[in-house]
Amino acid sequence: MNRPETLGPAGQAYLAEVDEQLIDLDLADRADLLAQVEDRLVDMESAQDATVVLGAPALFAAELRQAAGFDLVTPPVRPADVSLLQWSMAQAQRSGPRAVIDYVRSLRPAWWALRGFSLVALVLAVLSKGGGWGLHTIGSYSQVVEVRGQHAGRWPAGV
Amino acid sequence: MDSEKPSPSGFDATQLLKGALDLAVLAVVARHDTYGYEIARRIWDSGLADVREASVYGTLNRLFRAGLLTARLEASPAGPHRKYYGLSDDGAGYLAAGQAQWGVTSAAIDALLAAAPSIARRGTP
Repeated sequence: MNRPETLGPAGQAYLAEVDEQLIDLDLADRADLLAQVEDRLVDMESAQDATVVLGAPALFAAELRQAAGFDLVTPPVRPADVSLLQWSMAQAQRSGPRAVIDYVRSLRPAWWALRGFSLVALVLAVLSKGGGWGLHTIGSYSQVVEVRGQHAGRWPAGV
Repeated sequence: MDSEKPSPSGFDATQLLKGALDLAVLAVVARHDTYGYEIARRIWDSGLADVREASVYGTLNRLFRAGLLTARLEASPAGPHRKYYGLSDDGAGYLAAGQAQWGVTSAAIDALLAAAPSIARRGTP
């Protein structure tokens, strides 16, 4: 069987998704693992769906990491007494931008909770026709959320 | 964690294979230098169909980093260069030690399992 010179679009997309999951690894290890995957994708018949043959890219990458002895990515936790800016710069220097991205992603539930609280407070404010009670409620919710977030060490100071 | 509990209804072969995959990969490479997918295929052909491709590629990377494998890029008639793995001197020593230990371990497990059927039938109608 003649091997195609390059990967087709589907193969490139699959490889890119695997690459994204390995972005925190040492460049040489990442290149070695990706070369294995690329070699396999090139050999794959064009009609074959890489996701069906190899599994979802994220799952494939997780198995690669585990077998290669690299820990799975876990979102880092920022100490409460370190500012978000200082912490982000230190993480980016130590582990690359991926660590900062993972941290921001880990905050997603907190952002949704804040949005929910804000929406409720807004509705209450409108219902009270702009009276002091509505604004007071928003202030109370903000304080509660900020205190809880800082207590858990996962909330950007000053937000 | 619940996911780490053994399933009462089925045996998870992947857990058993995890410890043996290093030796399986080294044994395949010991026959002649070869590349990732070919190694996976030889492992499947031997009867270990549950081994995942990603596990083979990850294991190759780890064994290479440990100095148990050599690697070289070889031109392909068409398509990109392909990485061929071979057994290093350290790898040969590791494989020899693994073969000896596997003999001891498998003999012990065989003996234990041979005594198990009467236990397994206990309580079944």
